[in-house]
Amino acid sequence: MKDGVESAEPARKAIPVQEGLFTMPSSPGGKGHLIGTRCRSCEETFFGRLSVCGHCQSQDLEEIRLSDRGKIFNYTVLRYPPPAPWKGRSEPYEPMAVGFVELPEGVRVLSLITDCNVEKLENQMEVDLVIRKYFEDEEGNEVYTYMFRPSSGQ
Amino acid sequence: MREVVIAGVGLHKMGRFEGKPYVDMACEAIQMALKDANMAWKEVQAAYCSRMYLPPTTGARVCAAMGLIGIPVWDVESACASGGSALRSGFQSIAGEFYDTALVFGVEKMPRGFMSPENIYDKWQCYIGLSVNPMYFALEARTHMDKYGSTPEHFARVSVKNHKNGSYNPYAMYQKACTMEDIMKSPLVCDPIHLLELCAPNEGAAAVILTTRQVAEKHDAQPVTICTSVVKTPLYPAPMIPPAFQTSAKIESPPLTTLAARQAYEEAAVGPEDLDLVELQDVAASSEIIYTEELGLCPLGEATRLLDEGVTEIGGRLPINASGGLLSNGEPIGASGLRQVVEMDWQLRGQAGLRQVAGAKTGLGHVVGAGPSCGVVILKR
Repeated sequence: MKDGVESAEPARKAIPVQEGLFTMPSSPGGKGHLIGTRCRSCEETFFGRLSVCGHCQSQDLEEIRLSDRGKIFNYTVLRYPPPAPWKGRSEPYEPMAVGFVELPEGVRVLSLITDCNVEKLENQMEVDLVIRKYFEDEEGNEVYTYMFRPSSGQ
Repeated sequence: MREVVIAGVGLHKMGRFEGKPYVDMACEAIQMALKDANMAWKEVQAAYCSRMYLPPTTGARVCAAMGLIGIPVWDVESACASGGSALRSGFQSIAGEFYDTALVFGVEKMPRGFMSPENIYDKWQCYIGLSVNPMYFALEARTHMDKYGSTPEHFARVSVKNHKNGSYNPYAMYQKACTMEDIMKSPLVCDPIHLLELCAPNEGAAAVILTTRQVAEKHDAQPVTICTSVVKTPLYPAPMIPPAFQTSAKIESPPLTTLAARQAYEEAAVGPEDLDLVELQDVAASSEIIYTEELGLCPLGEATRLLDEGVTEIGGRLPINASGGLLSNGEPIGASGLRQVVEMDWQLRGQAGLRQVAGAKTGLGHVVGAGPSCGVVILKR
């Protein structure tokens, strides 16, 4: 507060990096999930909230919860930090793994692969969803993203 | 549809030209193309400008510098496929008899360092780092390795070949041959792709004059026919091309490049077996292997055999990227696709100097860009 004026500063919030991709953990230690869209007409499933089916163009869609566990379809390792405005830690930079994770619903989702030794990843490895804070934005909000990590730990 | 020919071509060297305005670079390429076509600027009836990183109305600004002659000018953009899109726009305007003579040119001056990902990706993708172009090339390369047994050495060999070709091209950014060791010892960027297996963003300009055979012959030019110029976007599901972040594990469609190539072969009544040279989007060395197959130049999984047997070298049955490709020329995005067209025009007219493909009569050019979209052009002399 300054000069007796009520602070209009909004409370810091935990927010998703993008609306419509995943739900936020409802409590500390709680779990969010990936949001999916299933087409009632052709049964194709998508990651995220859609209004038109990308396959058959039907608008008869339902929101579903995608599985928390999938398998690495393919992956690579970023040996250099991504360009700005990437919000991860660049000093020191730890090479990051990224890949397509195949979910039982028949969709492959591009994702960071975390909590792993990047030299020991393999295709078909089982991975679990993690929704966690990735950075703090300019307003001090905690910004969350989805990631996957090997199920067995390493 | 009537026949469309290229009456003249012009090129500004690819590279870095600190302090040289893009208007000057583009005008040099255009003047060279006009001279090649034995035409005056005022004979041009419409212009299409391919660019991505330069400002809005780049085309109109360049044409104003050439002289105000009242013609319509359009900027055309589709990321790395911009040159293919601009060519198609010019092609259909002549084929459809809207104009008798049109200029198609591309120009680019890209910022140094990483290309800004915000042009291609959503903000959230940039924030979490899923916004690295070589990541997509690497994922495709690894899928090819898993499926067909290609190796990092194969990809390095593509880079050796293209850098060798580039050493014969006075317009290339890099005119220096590389060894396998140079490439394999250059820093790993995204497994399995090394730094010397990636094209550099840079600067350059290219211009082609499109017209009818009658007009070209009246000007005593050496016409090269555009059999067809095709632009395609994919069928579902989305290919692994930026900015896609999901795809289907259940449904498959032919790759985008295959869709464009099939349409081009059909429209041109030309098959892959009729081609004498190919300029394709070797944005990464591994991309050349993948696109060689997707263009139908060999069965799936056999591009590495073509490479091993020297088929794709200058002097082989089907030279690929005789110009040195994007690996030697860099990729000034707006100019790159039209640079391929200029190269093929020279090759088909026997004017490609030390990198000449002997007796070349038919060539195919290929660009793929974010979005994604793909352009394929077939030229014949």
